[in-house]
Amino acid sequence: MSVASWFRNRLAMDPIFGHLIPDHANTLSYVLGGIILVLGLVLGITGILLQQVYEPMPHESAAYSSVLYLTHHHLWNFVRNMHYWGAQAILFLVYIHMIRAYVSGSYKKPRELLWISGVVLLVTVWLLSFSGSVLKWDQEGVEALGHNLELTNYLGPFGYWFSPEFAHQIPFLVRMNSAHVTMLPVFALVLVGLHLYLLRIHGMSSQSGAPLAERKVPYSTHFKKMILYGTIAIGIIMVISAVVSAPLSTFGNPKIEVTKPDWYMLWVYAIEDWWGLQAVPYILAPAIIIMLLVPFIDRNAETSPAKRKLMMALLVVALLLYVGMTIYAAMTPPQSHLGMMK
Amino acid sequence: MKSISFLVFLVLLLLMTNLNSRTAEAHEGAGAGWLLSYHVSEDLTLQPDQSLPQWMETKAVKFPSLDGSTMTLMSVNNSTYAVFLVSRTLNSTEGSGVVIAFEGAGINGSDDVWSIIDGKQVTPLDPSVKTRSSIEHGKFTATFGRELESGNFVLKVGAPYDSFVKATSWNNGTSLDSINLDSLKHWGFELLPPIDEYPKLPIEISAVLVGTTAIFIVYETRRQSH
Repeated sequence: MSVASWFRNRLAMDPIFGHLIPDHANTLSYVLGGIILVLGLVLGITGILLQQVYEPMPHESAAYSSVLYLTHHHLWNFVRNMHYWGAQAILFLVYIHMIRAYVSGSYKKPRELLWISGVVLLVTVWLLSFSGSVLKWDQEGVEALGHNLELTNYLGPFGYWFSPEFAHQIPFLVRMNSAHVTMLPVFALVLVGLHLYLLRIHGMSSQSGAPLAERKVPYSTHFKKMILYGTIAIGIIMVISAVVSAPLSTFGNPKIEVTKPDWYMLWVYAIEDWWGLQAVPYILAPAIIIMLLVPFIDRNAETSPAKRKLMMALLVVALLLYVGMTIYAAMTPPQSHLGMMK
Repeated sequence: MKSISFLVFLVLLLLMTNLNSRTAEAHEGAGAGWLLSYHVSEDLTLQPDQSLPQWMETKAVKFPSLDGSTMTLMSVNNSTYAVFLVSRTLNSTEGSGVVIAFEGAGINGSDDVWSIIDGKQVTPLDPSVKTRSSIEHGKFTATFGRELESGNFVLKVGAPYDSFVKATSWNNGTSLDSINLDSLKHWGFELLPPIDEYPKLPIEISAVLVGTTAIFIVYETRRQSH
């Protein structure tokens, strides 16, 4: 008996690796979730390494200095670059993965909770990325924290938990670090567990539009594809990390505002440009709620895009809005958004 | 569908009632009280012309001069050299003056004072400072330039200088010695490094998202029609 067989037997993996999935679930567009999972592991490992050096104290520039230390040592810098570019890749792949799930109607009954857990995971990934950008404590990080504090103040009781007043004896950066390395990853892990459980229960991919005669293959083939594509993704990120350093601006000056967020949040920056920071929760919250409601808006069993023209039109409109706002924010000079909430 | 309609209505209502009244305030706020010297990658010129590309993406601070007219102050740097630009309405340089002072940056903790009186650079002046000025169509523009690491003090990129810069101008023959520089508004100052230059690729990523969506729609339509 081989080692693999021994583990397979002892862990009773056959119901997982042996169950049958449609053949098309092994195409690249259906393995995106698996690649995200592999890259999530990379982020977990590099994150644990970075925590050995990072000092989450804002006073005397300790946090910034510890990040600076990372950038001055080749191996640490590479680990930090892997963490940053891995996170960027995950964000990009999450977007693509969700678009694919939407187009293929993968949220349809009985997969509503699969979609909903995916949307909540998207928000969690946003929060992880946001909190990670604050930890650098450079100009971008300090400005991001300024947005956090001003919004929580504006939201009153709804934002109290995220405000410095909630635990005023603890530096807010310490709490942000705790959220980034403990709370959010644990929450994400629970959600991923739920997501995978639902995937196992309801099966890979949508079935209603797929031909009945489609070949079925064991899940182990999908797992192998996931490892293969995941390894390729890691290779690409390693090359990028060796060539391009993760950004680090100058030590944060909270009295000025000169940076813009990363690409995935530029559309929110456009909202701030047009209506001010206070508009963000009024637009972001309904946008997330609408995403959560997608399975209940599009309720018929049809999964082919050709027969879901309204839903495809909605997707195109949302995508054009997102792209338009992103390009607008990318092309315009940085603006001040802080300090105007009363 | 009723719940969706209600949600859309709610969003529109919130936008109309709560946000539009604040739109005008959206570009004020953090950064008030600070003069930021934006980084420009190209060589800088002292030519007193605010329409030059080097000033295009730079934010100016505006404040009243001694005679009440509004003056504009802005700055750019390229990590080795910094240029300051002052502009205001003025018909003649006779009896006019403009001064920029740097708190505590002179000899023995005195202010480092750069000035142009009657259209001419005042001497003695920090010898590393170069100035230019011009009047065109009733607009006076003056530039002051200096290497960051020369003269009495070294300006560091990315270091915040609180309450550091003060400036004013006049058109009524006021003497520079009679001006109490400490009574002028003090601006915080920071020489910014290149910002947001790392590859964010928002347009490229947006294009890939749109392209991939189109591919998914075609792929799923074909797959599910077979």
